[in-house]
Amino acid sequence: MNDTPPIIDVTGLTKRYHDLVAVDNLDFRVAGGTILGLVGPNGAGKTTSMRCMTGIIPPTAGRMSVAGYDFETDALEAKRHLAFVPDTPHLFDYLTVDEHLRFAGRIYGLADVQEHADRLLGEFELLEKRQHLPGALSRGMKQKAAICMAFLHDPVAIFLDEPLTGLDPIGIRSMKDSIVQRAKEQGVAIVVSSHQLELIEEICDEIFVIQKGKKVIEGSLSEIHAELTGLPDDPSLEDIFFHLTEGGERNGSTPDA
Amino acid sequence: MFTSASLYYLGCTSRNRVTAMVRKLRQPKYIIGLALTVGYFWLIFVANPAFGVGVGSAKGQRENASLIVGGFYVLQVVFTWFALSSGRGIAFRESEVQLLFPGPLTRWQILMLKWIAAQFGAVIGGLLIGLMFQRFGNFSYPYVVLGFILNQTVLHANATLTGLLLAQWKVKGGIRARLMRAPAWGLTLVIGTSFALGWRQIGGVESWTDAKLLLGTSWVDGALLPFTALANVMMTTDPAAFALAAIYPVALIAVQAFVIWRVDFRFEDEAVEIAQKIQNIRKEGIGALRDKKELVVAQPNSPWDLSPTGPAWRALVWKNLISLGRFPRRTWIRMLIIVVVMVAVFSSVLIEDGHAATRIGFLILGLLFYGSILAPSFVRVDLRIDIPHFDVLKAMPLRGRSLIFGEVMGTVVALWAVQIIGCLIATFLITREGDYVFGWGQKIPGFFALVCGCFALDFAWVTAENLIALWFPGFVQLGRGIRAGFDQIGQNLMGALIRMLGLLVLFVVPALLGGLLSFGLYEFGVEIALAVSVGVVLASALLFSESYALIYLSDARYDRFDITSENITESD
Repeated sequence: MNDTPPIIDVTGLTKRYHDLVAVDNLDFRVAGGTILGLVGPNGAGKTTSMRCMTGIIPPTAGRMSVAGYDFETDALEAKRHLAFVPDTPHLFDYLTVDEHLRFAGRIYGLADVQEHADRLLGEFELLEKRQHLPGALSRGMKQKAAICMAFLHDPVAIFLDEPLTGLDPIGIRSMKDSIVQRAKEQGVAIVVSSHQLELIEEICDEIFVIQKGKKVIEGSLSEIHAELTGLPDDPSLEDIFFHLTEGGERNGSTPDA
Repeated sequence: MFTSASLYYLGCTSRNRVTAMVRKLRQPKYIIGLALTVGYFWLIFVANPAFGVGVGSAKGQRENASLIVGGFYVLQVVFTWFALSSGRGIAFRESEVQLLFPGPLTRWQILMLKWIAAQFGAVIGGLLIGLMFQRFGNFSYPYVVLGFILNQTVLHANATLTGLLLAQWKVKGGIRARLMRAPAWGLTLVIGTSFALGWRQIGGVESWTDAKLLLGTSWVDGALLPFTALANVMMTTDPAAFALAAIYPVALIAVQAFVIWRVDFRFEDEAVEIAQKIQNIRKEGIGALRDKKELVVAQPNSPWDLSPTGPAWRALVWKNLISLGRFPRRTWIRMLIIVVVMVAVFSSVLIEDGHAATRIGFLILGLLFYGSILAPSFVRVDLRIDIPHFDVLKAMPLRGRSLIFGEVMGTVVALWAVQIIGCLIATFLITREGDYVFGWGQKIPGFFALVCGCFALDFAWVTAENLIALWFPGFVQLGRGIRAGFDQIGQNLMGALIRMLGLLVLFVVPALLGGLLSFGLYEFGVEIALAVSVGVVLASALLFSESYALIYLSDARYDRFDITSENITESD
């Protein structure tokens, strides 16, 4: 685990919908420069956790802070320092790509929006599409536009929910590079939720496995490997994932223990 | 194999749809919505003494019903033919394309499956129409239902054949591709000409009796016969009469089905295209039908340039005004035509006596008031559209009151701009009424009061709409997608009732205090126009303050708002 102070700090995060416990008492910390991979089967509570961590929905219990700002007491400041890219981007129907960025720039009070916007649109190869309305964009382009909007204000914490969905191979490459570069060069704390285990394995420093809303295991791939028994030599994250979610044992104990 | 699979499909989908409908009723909003819908239709079709009065001879009732049903079928066919004249083919859904097309099914079998799938709606429709026919008396419920289902198959076959044929014309190009609208226009022309000739035959229509005479002329009767003959099958009361009347619709079905089966039209390409469009309409509304060229903005056309810093709510106003400005031009043109026609029609009625310009001025004010009440329900570029975007907006550093105020103001500014122009025109036009002359001493404060009143009214109205979306999201339409559902009518009614109630409460204090002030000023010798204007300005300020207080109080609701726990389904 990284010893630097955490940028994302989650303690006891719980979300209940009537009788259903979607997220159950999650704790984790993500330091600057670290990429945390949030993995779990469908319905595990990944998206709900992300929405709680970004202040979109209120948790039933627990505390969360971003860059030292607690959501309970200073939600606006916390939000000012984070960015969220949802799994299905819903852009405003009648704003062009460029206007989306200008709109976001105003919300975050950025003085040099156009410069930032040009750089990001170039990075994600959207310059030619800047005057297009979302209806004229493919799913991947919408995803890129949502990512540009999220990265515009140089957040210190980024939450990405299935960030590669709909992207073409070039988009996937630039997205991966962008995530890693933001973490390693700019010291951003990043949480990536994805079913694409090879992506998580490739770019994440730490992995957080969640199932039925509960933490199953957390740590780097090597730490998790060391903690588990019954795995093949040099296991992939896929091996570990199936081992954990299909009821394998963890040094004699069950995964949920 | 295919038949058993089709029947299995029909059985399962019907059962599941009924189960889903019943399960929905566990939620209060649906059960209340359904109760209101049933109440609404009961008031219109049962309790309303003007509907289908069961008096007169059985023959007369049959003629009336036959004309109504026949007229309805004419309209249905004309609209269907016009809708299909773009050559878009048959309306397949994405699921049908993905699941049926790759399967070992012939085109005929796929079309049959579509017809089978349509039977659930036909049966439900038949059962309801049968109930409505009970009001006319002298009809047999089972035969009305059976006749309706049979006729639906005739229309289904007709729409299928027309769709396939016109799509084929489009693909083949040439002269036929240019004549795709010809069938629809041809039918319209035949019906229109027959009415014109019938009109001439009876020498004009001035009463309901004349109208019935017109429908009975040989011209109109002849033109409508193919459709009224269809209606006859619903008017039978015994098996023999039903069998006899059914010969015509069955023959129509047989001929059309034979052509479809024999020609084996290709429809796959059009089906894929239309399925995608339907999918988009379900998600994004009718705007999804816009041409791709319209989706590229050549020149930034924002009403003002958004500076990088400043209050966040202004960014929301900017966003919403841009969105409003990008509604399809056709929509604006149609709205403008409607307004001009309304002004022209009402003016022609109202200016028979009195000062014409003044009457038109008052008419414009009346229309503005009417428009102000209706517009917030139609101009929905605010929170109602943006709640589905909350994953983006709520992650931004925005206070709830700032966001709601910005969203509300976008719609308000747009409406207010139109109202100011209207008020200005009306102020110039209104000059005298009888012996009373409106001088600028009355008109200027009047204009100012009207402008203030319009703003406060818009603000209160749009705030009410938006706060209902925030507090009771299950009772309003959110997003641009289309929500189907029988109980939706009831939910809309319920939403309207809540709004009316809220607004009445909001209006009480401002109206009372504004009225008192006006009265007091008048008693102190201030001229009536000025006294009323000052009262209106005070009432407007109070109404605005009350509405803003509601926004302020909704701050915490925004923070706690959780779309995922609201049981909202955008297209249920």
